[in-house]
Amino acid sequence: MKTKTAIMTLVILLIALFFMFPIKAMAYVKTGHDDFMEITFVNKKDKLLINRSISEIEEGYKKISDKKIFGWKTYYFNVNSEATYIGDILLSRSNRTSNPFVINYKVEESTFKDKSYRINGSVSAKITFGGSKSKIEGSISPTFGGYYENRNTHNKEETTEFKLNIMPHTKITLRISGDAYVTSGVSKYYFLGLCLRKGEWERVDVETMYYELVEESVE
Amino acid sequence: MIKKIKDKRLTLSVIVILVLISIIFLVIKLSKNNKVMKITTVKKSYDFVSLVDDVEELIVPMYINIDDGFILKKENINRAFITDEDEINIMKIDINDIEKTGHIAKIDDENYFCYLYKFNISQKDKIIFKNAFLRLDCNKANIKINIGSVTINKIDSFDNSNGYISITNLKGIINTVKSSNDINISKKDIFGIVLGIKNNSKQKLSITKIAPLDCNYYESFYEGKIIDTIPESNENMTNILGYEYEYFYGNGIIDNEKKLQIDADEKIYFLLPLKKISKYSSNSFGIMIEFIEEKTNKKFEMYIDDFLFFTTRADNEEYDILIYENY
Repeated sequence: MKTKTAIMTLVILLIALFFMFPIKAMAYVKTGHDDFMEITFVNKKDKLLINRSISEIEEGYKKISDKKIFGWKTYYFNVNSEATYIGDILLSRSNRTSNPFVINYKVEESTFKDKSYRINGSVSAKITFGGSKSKIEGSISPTFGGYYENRNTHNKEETTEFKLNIMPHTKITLRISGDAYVTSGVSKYYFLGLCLRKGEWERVDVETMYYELVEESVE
Repeated sequence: MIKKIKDKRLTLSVIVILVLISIIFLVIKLSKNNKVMKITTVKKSYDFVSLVDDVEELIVPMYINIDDGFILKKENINRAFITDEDEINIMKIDINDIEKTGHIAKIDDENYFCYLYKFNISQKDKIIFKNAFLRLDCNKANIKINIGSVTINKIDSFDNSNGYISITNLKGIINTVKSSNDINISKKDIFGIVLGIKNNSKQKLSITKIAPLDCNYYESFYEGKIIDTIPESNENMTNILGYEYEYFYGNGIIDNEKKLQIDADEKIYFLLPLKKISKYSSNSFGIMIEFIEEKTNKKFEMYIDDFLFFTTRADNEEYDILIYENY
């Protein structure tokens, strides 16, 4: 009886915990970055982190051969590798009526992400990329930061508002594609010569966004 | 006696402290007055197409080396204008807001804060400033800065044919321009436009003109061609055209005989190469399409609102910096 009560209590507690911390089902994105539907490298030999096998990742760790007393050591798979991407659909409106109608749409560049990070493992202390204001967790080799700083970039604010005429039985879609640079690697963190943490990471820097308007028929 | 000496010492201490505070205050005030304010912007083409009574918003990003100062407060700006260099043509605009973006640009090893200056344009007629200056009349100083070009197109209607044609596809072909004076400077610009055009009417139509509503381009409809597939936005323009593409054309030639015929219910893809007059980058502008109904020879006009073709962080810009001392 006591055992039954104990089991029942445990089950109720587990159910309660389940509802307190619901499991979120993450939609799978084939690039590993939510904002990019597709990323294609200019050099066909380059790969996204998500497409690298476990053996390739392990090979990267092995190439971090020399130890350090304190700090991070990194092996880079890609450094600012040129790529093109297909991004989000910004707008999709259908007109299933027999009359055209007009909508106003405002595009603001500052609302879009211009960097995307993917991190696996325990690379979750501060990562600082030289020349960039964006900081995520983890510190990486300063030589990389120095390389990145040589690229001249600056942020510009772009806002435009335009009217769209949607014809009867059609759908209008506004979508983004563009050019980006991808950097990825594996890193190890040493403390007194011992590797305490390691992990893989990838960063996608958007350089240019192209906007395209497409109209399709709908029934 | 001792008490008198102590009182004297106390008074002396208070006087010394007051004098020191005054000196420190004066030093701070004088050092502030000796600060130099530097202002710059990225020169570009600002283009608008709208109905006569519509109010447009002009947003000019300004980079300023200080984060305080009279120029950063809307109430300090008494009047604002867009003018040409000689101030022969002047358009009054209304300051709406000054927004700090949080972005910082490094120019000549100095940090500049980015502010968006937002203005309302109530202009009723078409006006063009090929070399436009933003003039801000303030109490402390007048600021006049070259912002590029401004084209205001005012129209009665976006489509006076009521839907005879519709745009099924619209995108830009964006390539990199190499500066001829300095090979290290390169920037992206729009080399051409791809339009999908559908004839929704029951008549054959002839398109006689497709033109960007931007004063920095020549007429180039005669050089356009029908294409079978839509190219990628970053595809090389020379490869698409099949001949060497010239970014700066020189002299525009208008071929009045050019017509693009579209049958009833037909859809075509048209590539319009753009021919540049000036060096100002354009990434957003409207388009005008003029066409004729073959049967009646009646002329129609359709306008596409200013469309944002691309944005980029890759440009190496040249900055003209305005310096104001003792602001």
